[in-house]
Formats: sequence, C-alpha cells, structure tokens
Amino acid sequence: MNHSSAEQLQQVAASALAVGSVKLVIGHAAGAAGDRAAACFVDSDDNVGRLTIASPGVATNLAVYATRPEISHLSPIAVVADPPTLRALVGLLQEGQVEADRLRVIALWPQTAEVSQSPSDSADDDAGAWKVSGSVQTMEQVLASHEWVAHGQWTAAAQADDLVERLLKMSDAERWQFWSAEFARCSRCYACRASCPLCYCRRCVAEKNQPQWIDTSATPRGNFAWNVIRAFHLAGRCIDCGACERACPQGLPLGALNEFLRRTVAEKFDYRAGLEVDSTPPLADFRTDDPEEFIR
Amino acid sequence: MSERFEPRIVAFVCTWCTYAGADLAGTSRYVYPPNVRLIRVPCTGRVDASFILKAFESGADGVLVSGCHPGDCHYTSGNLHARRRWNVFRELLRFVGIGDDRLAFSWVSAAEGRKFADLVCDLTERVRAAGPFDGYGRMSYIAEALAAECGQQGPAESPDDRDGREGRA
Amino acid sequence: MARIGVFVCWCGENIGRMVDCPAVAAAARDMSQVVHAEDYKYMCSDPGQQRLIDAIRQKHLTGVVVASCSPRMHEPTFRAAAEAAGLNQFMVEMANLREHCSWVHDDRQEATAKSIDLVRMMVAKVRRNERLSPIRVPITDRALVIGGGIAGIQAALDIADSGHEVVLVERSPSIGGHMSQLSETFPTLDCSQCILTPRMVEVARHPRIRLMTCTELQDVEGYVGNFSVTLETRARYVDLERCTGCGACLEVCPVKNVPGEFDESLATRGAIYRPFPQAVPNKPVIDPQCCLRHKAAGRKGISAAESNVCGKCAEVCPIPGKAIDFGDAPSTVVENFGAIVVATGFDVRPVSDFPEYGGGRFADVITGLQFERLLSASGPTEGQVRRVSDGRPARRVVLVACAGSRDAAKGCAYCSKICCMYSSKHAMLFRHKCHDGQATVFYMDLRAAGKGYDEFTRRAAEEDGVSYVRGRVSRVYRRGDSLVVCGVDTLLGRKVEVEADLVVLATAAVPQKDVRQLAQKLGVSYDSHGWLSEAHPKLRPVETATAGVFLAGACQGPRDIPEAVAQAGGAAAKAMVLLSKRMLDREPIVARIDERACDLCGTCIKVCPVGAIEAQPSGSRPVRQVAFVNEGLCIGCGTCVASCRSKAPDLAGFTDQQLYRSILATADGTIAAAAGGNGQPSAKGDAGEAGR
Repeated sequence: MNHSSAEQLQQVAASALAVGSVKLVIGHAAGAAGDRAAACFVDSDDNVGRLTIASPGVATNLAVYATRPEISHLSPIAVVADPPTLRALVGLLQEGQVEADRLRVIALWPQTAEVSQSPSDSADDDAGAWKVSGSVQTMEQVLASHEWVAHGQWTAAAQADDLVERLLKMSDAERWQFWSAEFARCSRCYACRASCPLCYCRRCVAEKNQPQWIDTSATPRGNFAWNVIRAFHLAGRCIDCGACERACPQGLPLGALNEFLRRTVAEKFDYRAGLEVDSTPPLADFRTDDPEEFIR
Repeated sequence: MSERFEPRIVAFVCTWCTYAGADLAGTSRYVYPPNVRLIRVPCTGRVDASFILKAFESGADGVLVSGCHPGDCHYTSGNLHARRRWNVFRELLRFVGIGDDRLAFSWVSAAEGRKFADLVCDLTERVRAAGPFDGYGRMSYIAEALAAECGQQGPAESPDDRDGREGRA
Repeated sequence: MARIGVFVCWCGENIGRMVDCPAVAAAARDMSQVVHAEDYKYMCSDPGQQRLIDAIRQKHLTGVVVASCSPRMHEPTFRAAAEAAGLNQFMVEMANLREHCSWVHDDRQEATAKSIDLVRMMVAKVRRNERLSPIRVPITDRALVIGGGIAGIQAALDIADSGHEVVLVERSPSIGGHMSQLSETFPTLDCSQCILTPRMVEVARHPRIRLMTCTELQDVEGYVGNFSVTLETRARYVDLERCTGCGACLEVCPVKNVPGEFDESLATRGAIYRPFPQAVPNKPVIDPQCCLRHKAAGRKGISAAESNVCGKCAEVCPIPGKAIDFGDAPSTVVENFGAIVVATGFDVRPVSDFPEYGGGRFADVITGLQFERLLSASGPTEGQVRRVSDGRPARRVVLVACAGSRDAAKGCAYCSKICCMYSSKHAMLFRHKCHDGQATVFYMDLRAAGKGYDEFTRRAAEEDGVSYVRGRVSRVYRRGDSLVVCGVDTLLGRKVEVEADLVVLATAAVPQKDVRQLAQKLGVSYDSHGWLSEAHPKLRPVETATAGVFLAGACQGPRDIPEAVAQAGGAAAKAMVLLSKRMLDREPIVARIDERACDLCGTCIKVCPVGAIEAQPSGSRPVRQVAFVNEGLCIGCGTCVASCRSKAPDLAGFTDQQLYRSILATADGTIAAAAGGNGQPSAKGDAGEAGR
C-alpha cells in the first residue's frame, strides 16, 4: 500500500464530498485482506479514511458499480479509476450506460514509465507507485490529459500472450481438447460476468429461457456455449482489465479468449476498445471493405 | 470394411439470395448430396452466433451460413453486419477448436444455382473428410475424467444432451 | 396444444417421382402435435386447396405445413387458402420438397428421408408460429420522379393526370434530356423537338406537377408509401419568379466561349445562358464557374453579391428589382412521397475513349449525339452538316456502330441497342441533306428489331443510297485534310479504306456516372456497369427490390424512345396503384423489443439499416429510455435481433423460438434414407449409421 498516495486520494475525495461536488466516491476499501480487494462506497467526508489504493493484482474493476441501480439516485458520483477502469468507463459512456454529467473520476496513474510498460511486474509489486490526480475530474478532462495519452493503455491483466501463442500452434482438435478441459471446471458461478464492467445486461442471455440458447446447468455443452458466447459478446468491447480471470474461482484462462479476440478485432478492424467515447463498437458497425477471404 | 460417413450439415440461408439460389439449383436440376438442411431466415444479419453453437449441439457435423453478395442485400447492409460478426465468431470458434472444415460461409445469389450445388457438394465432402463431430461427446468424457480425478460427481446430462444423441445412437 | 396439419404434395411427377409422398405423410402423422397428414397430387389446385380448407375446418387445425414447392412460388396461395378457412395466414409454413429435394437428388430413399426431415423442421417451427396481422400504414399521396428526360416527363404526366401530386426533379437547368438534343427520330423521322416540346410545356403547366430544376436528390429515408426525401437545389442566380425570359442579359455577357452542354461542345455559350431555345423553364441560368463576377468574388473570398465586378447582366435586366440574384444560395428541402420513379437516363461514352478511331485527336471524329446537333435545324450549323475542324461542308460521312458496345475489352459487353438504328438514321438524314454525299455505316450486325425498324434500315440502303459495310473499323488516320477509315468488310473478306470528312462513332451508351450513389441512397441494386436492376427481369420489369421505387427509361439499360415511354407509363401505373390506396398493408415481419430486457446499449440502433429503431421512454416503472422499433419503418431483416447481446428484440415470423425449434429438429432425422422411418435400411443408410 502506498500511504502517501492513499492519503492524497482521501484528501481529494474528502474535499469533493465536503463541498458536495460529488455525492458518492466509489473506491477500494482499506484493510481488505486476502486476494480480493473489496469496494467501498463513501458518501461523506467523514468516512474517507476507508479509501485506499488496491494492488492491481487483487483489484476489482470499480466501473462495475457505476451502472448499479442502487446508487442511481446519487449524482454526481466519482469512481477511483486506474487506466483499465477508465477504459471501462469509456466503454460505458460509449454504450450509454452512464451519463457523462453524472460521472466523475479520481484518476490513478502509474507513476513511472516502467510501471506503464511492464504491467505484469507491477501486478506483483505491492508498493506500486501511483500518482493520484489532484482533483475530481470529468471524463472529458481525463481523456484530454497527457496522462491518458501516456498511460491510457496500461493494464494489470495477467498477460495471456504466451498461452494464445501456444494455442495458435495447436491443431483444432488439440485446442478443443484444451478448452474442453478448462471449461469442464467451470461451475457457472458467473463471477466472470459479475466482475466485468461491460457485462451490464439487466437480463443476461444465459438467463433467457424462451428459448434457452445456453444450457444453465454446468454441463459440458452449456459451459462451452456460455464461455464462448460470453467472450464473443465482449469482442471489440473488452477493455483488458483482467477482472474476469482474477474473479474466476476455478482459474479458467479467460484472459486468453479475451486477448485472442482483442487481437482479432485489432487486426481485422483496426479497433481497440475503451479509448474513444465517440467510436462505434466494431460489432455494431461495418465497412464495405471488411475482410472476407474466408467467404466463398 | 470402410463405410461412408454421411455428415449432417445445417445451413442458415437468407430468403432473398441463397434460398432463391437453391431454388434455382432445383429448377436447373443440379444434383447435389442430400446432407444439408436449410433453415430460411430473412437475412444473414438475423443469424445469431448461438444458432451455430446450437446446431453443433444438436448434432450437426457442419454448419453453413450463406446470404447475398455484398451490395446485393435486400436490406442493404444486413449481410455486411453478418460478415463482421463471422469475421470474429469464426476466429473464436477456430480458437476453441471448431475449424474451417466444419464451418463455412458463402455468398450465393439468386442467380447462382450452380454455385449453390457446387457449394453443397464441396462442403459435404469437406465435412465427410473431417468425420463426425463428436466434440461434445469427447468433452463429456473429459469432464467426467476430470471429475473422477477430483473425486467429484460427473456433470449431469441435460435432457438436450440425450435428445441430441438419440439421432446418432 | 397445437393441432398441426401436414399436406404433402406430389406436384404430379415432380415430387412424387423422387419422394415417397405417402411415406412422408405417414411419418408426419407420428410427429408431435400433428393431428392430420395427407398427400395429394396437386395441393395448389382448387381441389387441393379445398382439401386444406376442409381439413383446417374439420380438424380445427392451429397450424399447417404444406410440403410442396418453394414458398417463393406458392406461399401466397396457401396462406390465402388458410385465411379462407379461418386460420391466420401466418400459421402456414412450407417445406420445400421440390426445388430443394426431389429436383436435386437422384436417390428415392435419400430424398424421402430428407423430405421427412424437412417436414419435421417445419412442424417444429409452425408449432411456435404466432398469429400476425398485416401492418397498416398510411400512404403519402405524392410521387417523386427523378430525371426530366422523356421517361421522367412521361411518368410525371401520367401520374399527375391520374390525380396524384408529382414533384419532378431534374439536375440540369431544363427538362428535356437527351431527346431534346436529337434532330429527328427513327423510324418515322418526326422532329424530336416538335414532339417533345409540347410535353415539356405540359409538365410546366400541369397543376399537379411541381418542377424542380437544378435539383438533385441528397438523401432518402423511410419506406414504401412514406419516403422522406431531401432535395438540394443549386443556386441558379436568376429568380425564376421574376425573370420573364426576355434574354437581354444573354446579349451583354462578356463571356462568350464556354463550350455548350446542349450542343455537345460544338457551340459556345455565355456565363449566363439559356440551356436551349425551347428549355423549360425557359429562363437563363448563371454558371458560376465561368461568370467573371463569381470568379472574382471567389478569388477574394467574398460572395458574388458583395463583388462589384462586371454585373452587366443585372444592369440590363429590365425587370424592376432585377431578376438576377448574385446572392442566390443552394437550398435544401425535405419532402414526403409515397412512391419514387427513377428516370435518370443514360450518357454516351466520349470519343476520347476511342483513340484507335482518332477520338480526341481529330476534331472531325465525333459522337452520335454530336452528329445529332449537326443535323438539327436548331443546332450550331442550323442543320448543315459541316466539318467540325474547319466548318467546310461535309461530303463524306462514315458512321461506326458498336464503338465500345459488345466489346468486353472496352468494358461494355452489352449491346447499346439504339446505335444500329440511329446510325442508319444519321446516314439517311445526311443523304437527304446532301444528295451527292457519301454515307457509309460500319456495323457488326444490323439489329433492327422493332416496329418499322427493319423497313427503315432497308430504306436507308435501298432508297437513300447508304452503303453498309459489315465489319469492324481497325483505325482512323489523317490523309491530307481528310480522315481515312480502315476496316475489314467481312462479307467480302477484304480490307476497305473509306475517306471521310466526318467520322461518327456510335459510342456505347453508359449509365449516368454518379447513378451508383443515387442507387445506394434508394436501396436499388445495379449491375456491374451501373444499370439499375429491376426486381424481376420478366415479371417485375419496372419495379425494384425496394418497394415503392420504380424504374423508367434508360437508367435500367439502353433503350429507344418508344420503349422508354412505354416503360415510363408502366412505372407510372405501378406508382398509381400504390398511391391510389389510402393505407398500405405490410407484412408483419417486423422486430419488436422486449423493453424489460433492454439496456439501451445502442447496438440495435446502430445496426438497423433503415433507422427504424430509436430510444423512447419505457412503458414500465420506473420510466427509463429503451430501444423501440417503429413498425412502419422496420423492414424485418432481423439484424438487430442477432446483434443484441441480451436478446431483447425478436423478429415476428422468424422468432428465436421458431428458429431454435427448427435447429433442434435437424437433430432428429438421419441423413441416409433407410434410417428415416420405415425400417427398411438401404446399404447407404447402414453406412450412415455405422459412420457415426
């Protein structure tokens, strides 16, 4: 825990809450133990002491809470946001799930270029050095900042490149074998869904039962359909925070699916999710010259 | 004794182009194998990724999606949205182990009866060569093996599982 | 519980020969919720339909599967029969046993097994069908005609005469099109202007036609019966209301040397000009590209109204308050229409596309359209055929048909259709004007199919002394002050060289160069050349794939005047049929959104090809914004349904339930015949089973 950063965060939150420029601050709670950092919701400057900066390796993506109906009466709200959280908020703004007027952030920037460039190291580094923005900002301000330009694509997600490469070298049958074994462990707890800020559907397709496209029981074909469709629904939208994989109690390598789709979307459509509010998600869009070498 | 495997192929075709192309193949009496079952939709834009998964779950050995050529879509751009979707979903399915030998996409216009017949011939042979798609069967086996390893109960079969296998018993 | 009836049609021998129809009906009887199944020789015949009607009534059927031909053939027939029996027409599905089965398979057992599968899939689907009612939408009683050539003029007059309002838009300053440029018309040799001008005037005077010149279509929204069209009118700089067309301004314009469009650059015009003497509206227009004041203003970055350069036209304008308006600006209007007739016509390829024929190098190599101007009494030479190069009378004219047409290497594999006739006409008219002149037509085949056409070409050869040479021209070169046309006479099998004062190339007819953009806005398809595509080449020749949009004239492909006029009348009739109804029944195959599941992520709104989806307050509490489908706009493609992650939308007629059941039903059959049901495995059937 970086105390000076945490204190600074508390100060920024306290002054905003004190003058009422935000009604609620969503952050990580101090004192959280183990491998999960709990979120906390601070609505008064008296309670800012609960706020801290969680290590990226255990952090949830706090953007998940920005769309919660339980806090929809509070405005504006401020989210303590590292770059992946900011990207998630961009995604939510892009898809109209949170109003720009209602949203403020206290941005956290990785302090050194080193952190920025080797995110996997910083995930282990408990003393990860964070620079807290000096004030509560609007997303517009954040996206115009030079910090965003420098650190906007920073991530703490476990890097899946090696696994993706390994899988790409396999045959179809081997890949099927690999994923069958992985998906077999899925217990359908939907922690991946709950932890994902872009999985905000009020009625998930997995819960639609007329007809039931995805088997709800944890059978092989239901698990396969769920994990494939979940990944597909995030294609071009996943902002690479790694929360789903961290949340999975069975340790499924969900990051590899996400990373593979991120590559696919980047290669085919030259698109990265979570960077521009005004862009159209690639699967809600088309170009007349989209690739079609596979269509005969 | 080597016996010929007859694959089952489910095809999702748009009503304006490929369904009409298949009609033309009929009118022209182009003979092709009887392995494909056409499901008519208004537009390839209507074809959800779930359809493809459900077809495989239901015992299909191959799946075809076919619609109007770009520029010909009755709805202007439904096929272009579909093309985007398949660009991604095809890669994803390949990445999890369902490859191009089982999944095909094509543009067949209402005037391309010959192309439709050729497509069905080629695809039938391709899927035949790939063999029966028993992926879900293998998957259950793996799941049971894993469960046994962990000393847990094997995953229960849903009614759909049983239904799906009946036809192939 | 659904009560499904299955009706298996033999289609005479067509299905019955390859499919065991009684076996299919027997198999259908075992399918879940099927309470009636029968086979019959011809289901579509009156007695066949009566059997369907009787069964629906007697067995209280709630759903019907007709296993016969393609639904594209007889779906309306059986839907109507169901309605006659009191069953909602959308409770009928068809299994295609003919086009998709009996006609394409050669093994009776396999085909029978597949037929049973196809019936099973449709039974599974129809069990989930819902009763639907046609959607009634009001129709805007007004037509838009795009293009003011003879086809557009005819369509506009016909529609307006039948009592409907028409807006005729033309992008050039006058209507008339290519026909107004022609000298005389084959095969009767009527003067083109004499027959066209009265119709042009009729358009201008018609109480129900609003003419908009200098106007182009910018955008189209909406759907059949309810198009919303954005029209942009260029600045004319002459107030059409005030101007009396006196022409005083034309005299004083210091710019004199602009190549005139009407005379195909064979004459010049001023910066302010009247398109041609019989133009409608017969008022001048300023070409800002050439006008001194506009150019000066452009250089200074000010408007022409602020400039004080030239302005002679305004000075002499005798109208109090002046009809010249340098401050004129482009304007856009949005107008509503129920029907649209596209009559954008054609163009001809420029001679510069044919350097082998000297095109672009020799001034005396011209297009057929240019020759029309030379022949025309109102043309630049007042009807005397003179050489373009030096103005001397032309005594020898060579006419080259198929310049580019029927030549895939030149990009136009098609026949331009009009060239044989007009080249003969050109030769004949030239001989009429120049009795001692020599007219030679090079042709590939003389295509003169049409009433009085063959007689016309014979007359040219036999009475008017036109010499026809069957063969292609290889090149054209200059010898002295004449041109020499080299070619091969393929009938005599020898090379020929003909000296000429003028070489007239019947260059290929091509679509207007920007017609593709227009077609895309209208949702009309076009072929690789850009000719607009009809909905069906035989049975729907003036309709397009977009309901409510019709085609008239040469935008669809090269054609002559009588054909263009006839087609325009046809397109007008189709538009009138549409406009004569107050309400339009549309197929209820539209999307609807379950607002409880909608998060308004905006995906459906973005993917909808017709903009039919918009955010609206929900009906539930608390009120929030959800996506809502405008049924009148929705065209039923289902792209929104497949794009939605939470599956909030569904598409009537092709619901998730219907398709899900169809997919599951594919699992139940077997591919090879024998396993199909009757317990008589064939060798192939065994193999199929063993393979699994």
